[in-house]
Amino acid sequence: MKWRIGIVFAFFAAFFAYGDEVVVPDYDALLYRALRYGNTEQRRAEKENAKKELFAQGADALRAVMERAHVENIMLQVLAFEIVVEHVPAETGTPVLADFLNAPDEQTRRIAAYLLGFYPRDDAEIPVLLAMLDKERERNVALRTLGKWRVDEARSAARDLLRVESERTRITACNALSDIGNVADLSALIEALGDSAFLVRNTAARAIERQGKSVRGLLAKALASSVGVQKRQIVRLLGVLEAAPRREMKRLERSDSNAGIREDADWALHHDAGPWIWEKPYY
Amino acid sequence: MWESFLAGAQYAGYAAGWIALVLLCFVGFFLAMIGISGMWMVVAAAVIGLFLTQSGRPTVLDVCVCAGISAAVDVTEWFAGMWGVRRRGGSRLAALMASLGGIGGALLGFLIPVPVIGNLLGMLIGSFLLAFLVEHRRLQRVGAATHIAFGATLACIAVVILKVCVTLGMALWLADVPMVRWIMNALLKRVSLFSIVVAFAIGGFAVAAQGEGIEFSKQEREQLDRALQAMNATVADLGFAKDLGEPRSALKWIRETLEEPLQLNRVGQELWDCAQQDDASNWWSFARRRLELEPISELSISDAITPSVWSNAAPVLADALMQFYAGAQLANLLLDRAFEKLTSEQMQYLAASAFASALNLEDEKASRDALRDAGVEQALIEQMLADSKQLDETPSAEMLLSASERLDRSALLEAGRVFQGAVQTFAEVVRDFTDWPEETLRWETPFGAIVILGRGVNVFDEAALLVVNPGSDTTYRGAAGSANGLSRNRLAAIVDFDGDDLYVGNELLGPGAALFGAAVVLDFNGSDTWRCDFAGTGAGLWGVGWIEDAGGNDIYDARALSQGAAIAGVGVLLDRAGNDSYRVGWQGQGFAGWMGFGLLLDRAGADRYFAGGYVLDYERNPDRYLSLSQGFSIGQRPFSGGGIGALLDLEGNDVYDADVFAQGVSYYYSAGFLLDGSGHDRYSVHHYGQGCGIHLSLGLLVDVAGDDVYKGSTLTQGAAHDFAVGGLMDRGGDDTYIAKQNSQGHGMNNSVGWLLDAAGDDVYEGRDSDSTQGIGNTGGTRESGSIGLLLDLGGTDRYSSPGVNDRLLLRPNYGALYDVNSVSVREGEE
Repeated sequence: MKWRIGIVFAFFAAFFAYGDEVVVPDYDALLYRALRYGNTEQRRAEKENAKKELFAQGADALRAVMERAHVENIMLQVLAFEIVVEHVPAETGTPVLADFLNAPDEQTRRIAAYLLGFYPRDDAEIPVLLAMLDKERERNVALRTLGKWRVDEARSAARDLLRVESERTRITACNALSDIGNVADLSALIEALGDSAFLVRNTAARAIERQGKSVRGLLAKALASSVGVQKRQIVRLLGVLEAAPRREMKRLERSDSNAGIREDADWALHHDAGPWIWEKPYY
Repeated sequence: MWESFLAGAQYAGYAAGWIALVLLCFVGFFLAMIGISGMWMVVAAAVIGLFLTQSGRPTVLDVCVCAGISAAVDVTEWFAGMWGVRRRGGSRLAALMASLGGIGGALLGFLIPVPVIGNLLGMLIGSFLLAFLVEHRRLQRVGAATHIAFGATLACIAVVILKVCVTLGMALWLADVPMVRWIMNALLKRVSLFSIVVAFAIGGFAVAAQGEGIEFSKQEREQLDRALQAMNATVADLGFAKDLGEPRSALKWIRETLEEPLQLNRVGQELWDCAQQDDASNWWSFARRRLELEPISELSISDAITPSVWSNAAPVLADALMQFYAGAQLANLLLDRAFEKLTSEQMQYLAASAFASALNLEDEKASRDALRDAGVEQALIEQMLADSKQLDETPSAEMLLSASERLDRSALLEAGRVFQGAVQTFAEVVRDFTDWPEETLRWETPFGAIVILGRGVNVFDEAALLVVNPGSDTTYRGAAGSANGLSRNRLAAIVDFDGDDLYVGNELLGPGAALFGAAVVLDFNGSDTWRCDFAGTGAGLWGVGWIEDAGGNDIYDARALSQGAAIAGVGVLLDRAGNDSYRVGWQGQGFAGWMGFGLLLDRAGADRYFAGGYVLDYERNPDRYLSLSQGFSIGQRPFSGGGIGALLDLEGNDVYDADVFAQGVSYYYSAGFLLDGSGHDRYSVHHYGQGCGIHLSLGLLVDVAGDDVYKGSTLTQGAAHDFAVGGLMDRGGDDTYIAKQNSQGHGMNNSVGWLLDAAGDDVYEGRDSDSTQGIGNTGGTRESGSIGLLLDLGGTDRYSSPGVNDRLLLRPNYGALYDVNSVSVREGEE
């Protein structure tokens, strides 16, 4: 009798185990429901359920999304970001994204490289990311992630990328150097303070400011040889850091031929009593 | 002897009277030249003339007319100085003093030993000086005070010109100069005397208004430069990289303007100038230029209809009809060319796509039925809906764009221009025609019937090429006044000369709407009601829809794609006068989709605009409605850009009410404009509004004058998000700005958002002071800032942020709040 009960039990166990294996979601349908515009109560409920179901799938859902990352659908990219940042831990998410760094589709590679930057450093992927720096349409995302991972090997490329034509690439390079935080790169960032693009020179300034007052000496030295917007940027940075050399500032305030520099020096010395008031944080 | 004496005395009296009459006219003319109301001298001369003339002229009526004109000019004068000062943001006291200064200066001008010129100079100087002194005392700034006082001076000049013209005109009229009399009679026949005076006044004021408009003035540019200089930036730095998308199609000027943001005001100025000039040809030129269309080669008409066809029509009418028909033939040829590369299936697919979201085809059976009735096969509707349900949007977007690009947009625009011109010319020619038939006249043509409604006909519901209504309260419904190239007439026009009419759009397309065709409705008089169950009222969908309503207090009510809406075409609604009410569910009141130019222009009256109440903004603000209106344009992200959506209101105290996406806003490679002239206006919006660019796009709101109130919540009042540009410019008056967050000169995620208030005592209230009032942001994961600017160039102002009056405040992530009155605008720098 016991063996008969055992057979029945084994049968049901095998049945349910098999049942577990075959419940693979139809991701196309699930993603459509999760992403479509919820303009009826029913669709909103379906959407909420679909999202819950996706998030419960964890890394599998991330893989399903990445397999469709080539698709032109802004909401799909937003969903991928949401899954990475809020629902899938690095242990399971990083391997999934790493698999797509060599995907045939460029957009998929870009998204994978970008999202990896929201996970902790994974040394195994660094060579692939470094290789992406040579590709114009992929290097921004790769550089961002390399910066977030503080990959020292990326510094040289980042410094070089401070001089390319693309403004967004120069901004990314400033941020990467800022994240890596090597003082040896400060001179490159100080040079970027003279960039022709407003956002580049200010991103560089923000990167330098993150180093704190320790940069005072380098800035003061650069001040002597700088001109125009770069000089103004340095004076203002010194002011923001409250590290402006008093005598030099007074000299600039009094006698520099550039009215902007005179005002910057005035402000760096006197702050709220200067030509304008300011609100922290400036950068 | 006695009789001889009496006769001599009589002649002497006559002679003296005539001499006095002539002298009075001359004196009047010279007085006018020094700004004094010399018209009254001419009125006095006219009174004398009553007793002298034996020819019956001048009559008592002539004298009354002259007196009326003179009174009107005096009233105009009283307001001119004030207007000149107030529109530049001056105080009421300065306005009053400008007027008094002008009078005092003119009298003191006798001390200057140059006749006439001395008085004129005295008047100008007096007006300028008193206005300047008052404003300088108030503002403590030479530049701003000069600017305002100069407004008073220009207004004085305008008034002098007006007085000289009126005095001279009246004198010559009295003298019975044939040409003058002919001109005056002609004018009197066509328009009222009041209109003449108003025209003079507008002409004069235009002089005073010179340089005031949508573009930055020199002084404003200087102050902008000053604010940017404090940020170690120049205007060129506003052009940081924003054109980073890769749409398959987008207007080139929009891409350029993303990186040259002040260009947006230049395009706004072009719109404004077109509105001021009030000539349809300017709108067509603007559309051609800004939709970047090529001129097209001449077409000829080979089969003009013969005059004999217009049986039963009076000769004048027959000629006008023949001329109109020639235009219709040419427009038809152009439409042939416009659509020759499109298959019927493609046209149906495009139509279905336009209405898919606008009328919620998926969920609303009535919308699907209406579309099917309009000529789209059920199978194609279902195919389009199925395509739109794919996760990958590329195939359906590609299909739409491929089909759209087969449209010859140049030929379509030209067809619209030709047809609108033909209808307008017809209306002008027959407007004075009085011999209208008692019974309805009807002629069949290959393009549809031409119908002249007889007396007593008060309902018309057929598809027709042209319907003419000489004047009665009429209801138009069904296919009347709409063009549908899918299933019936693709040219349609209504010319209605009088009556309070009802225009009902109970089919897919309402009056003045065109789908693959051109529709024109001209309504000259009466308070009309325009109602559309679906779309219409100045809508061009792969077509051109044009409506002009010349008078009356009108009511406009529609669900979507209405009141100046266009996709791949032009949709125009022009309302010339009256206090009007506009209501649309969404996508209207100056709305544009792909390569469209949607325009709503209201020239006068206190108007109310409402957009919303149809589709909830479920995913962002579930308790708010999407508006997508009031100067809004949208592209299909990331596949293609949109067009130009513009709402212009020239005068009156207006109310603009909307929820999400409205009031000078655009989304993805598009441009939205809301431009308002004079009047105290109220603007209300919740999210994305009041001069806002979203996702690589451009939005501008400009209010030229008045004490205005702006209410918004998020990303409003000169704000931009994601590589975009948004600006709000208020040129005068004491204004109030209220917002919750990310507003009032705020750039977000690598954008430029600016708010410029040129004058007046203003209040800025932002609930979140860290994201309102001249402030950038960190750029989120992009980690690079934006530029946010708030410039207040006059008056005593209050801020909820740390900004204070009379200072320049540099704000985080590249923002500046610049209150000119306080910043060390040192006198030496001016």
